[in-house]
Amino acid sequence: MGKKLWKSYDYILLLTIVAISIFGVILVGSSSVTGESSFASLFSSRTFVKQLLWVAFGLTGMVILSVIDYTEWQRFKIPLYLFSLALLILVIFKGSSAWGAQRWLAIGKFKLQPSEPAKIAIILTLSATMAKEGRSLERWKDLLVPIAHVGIPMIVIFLQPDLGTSLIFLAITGSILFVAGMRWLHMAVLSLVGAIGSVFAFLFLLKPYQKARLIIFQDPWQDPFGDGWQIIQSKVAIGSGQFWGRGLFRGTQTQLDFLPAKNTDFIFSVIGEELGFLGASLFLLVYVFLITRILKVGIEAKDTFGRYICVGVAAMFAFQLLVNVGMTISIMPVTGLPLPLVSYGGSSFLTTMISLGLVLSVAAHSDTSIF
Amino acid sequence: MNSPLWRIRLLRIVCVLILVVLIYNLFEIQIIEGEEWAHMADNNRFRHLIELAPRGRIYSADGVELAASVPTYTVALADEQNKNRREQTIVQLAGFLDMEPDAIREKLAKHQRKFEPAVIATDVDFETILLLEEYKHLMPSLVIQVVPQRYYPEKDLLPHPLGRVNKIDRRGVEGLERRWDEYLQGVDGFSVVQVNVENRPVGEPVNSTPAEPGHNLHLTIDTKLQRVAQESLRRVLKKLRDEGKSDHAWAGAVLVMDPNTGRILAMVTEPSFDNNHRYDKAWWAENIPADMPDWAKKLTDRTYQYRRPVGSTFKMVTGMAGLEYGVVTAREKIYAGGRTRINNQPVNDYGNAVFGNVDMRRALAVSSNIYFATVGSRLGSEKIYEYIEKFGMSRTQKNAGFDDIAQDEQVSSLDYRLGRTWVGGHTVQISYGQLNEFTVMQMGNYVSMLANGGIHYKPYMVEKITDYRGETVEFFEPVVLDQQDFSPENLKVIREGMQQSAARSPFLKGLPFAVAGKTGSAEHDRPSRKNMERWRDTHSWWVGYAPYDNPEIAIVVFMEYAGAGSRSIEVARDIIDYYFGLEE
Repeated sequence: MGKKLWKSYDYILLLTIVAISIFGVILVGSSSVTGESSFASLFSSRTFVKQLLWVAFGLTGMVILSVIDYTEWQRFKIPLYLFSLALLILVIFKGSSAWGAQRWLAIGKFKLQPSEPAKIAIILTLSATMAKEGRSLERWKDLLVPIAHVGIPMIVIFLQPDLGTSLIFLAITGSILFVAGMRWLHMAVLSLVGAIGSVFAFLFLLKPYQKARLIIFQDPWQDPFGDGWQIIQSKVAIGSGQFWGRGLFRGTQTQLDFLPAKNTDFIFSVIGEELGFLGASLFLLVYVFLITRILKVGIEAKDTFGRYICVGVAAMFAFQLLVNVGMTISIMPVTGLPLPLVSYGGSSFLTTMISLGLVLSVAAHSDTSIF
Repeated sequence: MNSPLWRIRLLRIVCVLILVVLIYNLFEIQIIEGEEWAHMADNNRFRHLIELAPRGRIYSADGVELAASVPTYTVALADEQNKNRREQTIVQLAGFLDMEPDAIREKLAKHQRKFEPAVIATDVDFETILLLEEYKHLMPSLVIQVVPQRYYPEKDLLPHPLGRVNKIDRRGVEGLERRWDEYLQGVDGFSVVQVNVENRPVGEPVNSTPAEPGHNLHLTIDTKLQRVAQESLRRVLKKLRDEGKSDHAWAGAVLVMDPNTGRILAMVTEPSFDNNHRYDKAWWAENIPADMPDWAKKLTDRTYQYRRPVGSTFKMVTGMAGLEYGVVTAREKIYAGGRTRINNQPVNDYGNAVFGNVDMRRALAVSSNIYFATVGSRLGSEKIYEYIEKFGMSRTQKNAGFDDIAQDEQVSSLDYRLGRTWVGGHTVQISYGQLNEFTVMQMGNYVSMLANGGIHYKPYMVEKITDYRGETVEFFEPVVLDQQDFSPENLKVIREGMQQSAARSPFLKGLPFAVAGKTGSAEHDRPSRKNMERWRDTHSWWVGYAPYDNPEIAIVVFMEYAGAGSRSIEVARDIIDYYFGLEE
């Protein structure tokens, strides 16, 4: 078994992941050390060292996870689901707030954001549910089970409130159901209902300041020193990078602190400023390559469970890429979603690593041709 | 398999679409709009700080600082984009400055140039500045600017010619401050510093040029002599009012020059005022005698911005012209019978006094109008005007060529011929100093020329310009504008007449040397609604030089509406006493 596993192991995917992770940790360093820095001075930053440890730890964990047959996880479907749901509910009552939302659970020194592992749990359990023999999506009522499955944790996250993460759930669910063969008619109807619901929610449920924050990206100059500040500074950073960029560690917006949340939500702005159009485009190219590679693993998976996992993980990556990068260039609202693999943050990085470990496992265990 | 693989392939295409959308937008921001954003990034991080150059000082000949540059403090706020920090700063600063926070917000809202700090308060006192420095960290966008401002330490000494500096743009706008502005101004320095989001400077300035202080002006004015002349003039005017000799004796001027160079040693205008409060109505109301009439409360400098008829002080012009043209000799006696008519113009001597047969010297000594009217009528107006020009007193010779104050701030003499049909009676009247009007400056040059034998030196008060290190930038030597070849014998006759005139004055008794001088009591006006009373009082003039043998100073005293010219000699005596160290 071992020999076969290494033969079908997706080294290209592994290499891509390692490359993006290292690239990410250097950028976290660049945006965390005050003033112009060098590679050597990065180690003076606690943030950089912490992230480096997370990367090392995470990559190791990912590789270990990848050699375990993913199909084993199907058995833990129900406990996984219930445990993550329990964490999500707990955070509402006992969590620490950040930016007015209850998102964190303090476990000793470690701060856990339960919505991060919840993403993995949902991908795994929904994939398992949908991969059940004989499940069909022909009728309306066939949709009830998956919708309820995802809907419950999603609503809990929405209540935190964390609009961004709950939308990731939507993207994951939509993609898995789509690949599982959901009917076009059902998709069209549900999309329409969703759209009407969103408009309704926007008009009647959101408070004026929430609305303002949601639509400020269309014209940040309406409030350049308030809600529009982050977006403007981000565009200034990215735009001023021009073609070649200011050079690694030499972005003025980054190094002089004009850029807010520069090592988390706005890390892509650092890439744009310091590495320019050239660097940012190459980065996006590699990143999208990673996502399509994950989907390729899905295509070659030996079973639908593995395939759905890949689709869910790919959807998670693609959605976060679009929303995070879109936010920095002001084509998407500011939602506070990090850029997986690159943004600073332990929970997020570990979650990403676990999801990629599962994908690597799907690839490693895909070869069914010999038997 | 219950799901066709094409659906995953479709998802891969969606990923590529996302890539295309993102890169397309990046291209727009980074390539198409890149330069604009880069410019904004520079505006974010660069602050242009201006270091204002201290204005050059003005010193008197005896080294007293007449115009100083003192630092004042301006509190400003740099553009703060973070709402919370901005609010915090505003509230803190309002407390320190004892202002309403709303007043500060309003000033910030009005401020247009975002990359320059917005001025919140000017002239902030030093104690407050010390406090602000101490608590600066609470107000990251606080900028304390040092703004040098003009200060005149000698206050009411020489305020008229010193002039004024505009407080806002700090340009000289009047007097010496204006005329010599390009020297006094200096060059402002600037530096460009990189700041972080908290507006704190990071690293060394990217670019910096230190301010270069303005050059200093060194005047020919002697402050002690100036003070003596000013106090004497003020005292005599007051005495005349107090003794009821002239109710309108409020204003006047004194000019003291070196006849051998054109240097102006003192130039006094009364009433004077504290130049730090030039346009400060409250100061004027508080410090100027309440009974001073409005016509006297002027900022006009009465030495070069004011012209009046000069009366008998003019007679040396007529006398010189008469002798030089030979229409009269020094010995010829003309009968002065108290009153007569010449060219159909009634002429009388003061109090219709009968002087009898008088020659030139005696005519000057007793100031006979009849004698000089006769000489003038023999000369005709053209020759008199020719000598007016020779003595640098014509209309085109503005203040005899004095140009240390901008020409457009000076006045010319009044040429009575302009716009008039000339009659013989006019010639008679101008012969003894009526009708035409001259400035004190012109009179100063005229008497200097009599003292030095006919050399027209340009009157000047700026002698030297030095830079802030004390190095001389420019030095102004005396300038000879013109030289008359008066016959020494004729000149001697006139001088002797002046000496005899001076000798008659009780104010000039007991001097160790002789003095030359001439009084003038100029009639000037007809009664009018504007001038119901004052017209009866003549202007009191005295021009002269001392010592008679070896002239060192030329003096002009002018007292408006103060009556007889002889009253002015009292001021001249004080000046002579001080200058030659004769006070007991």
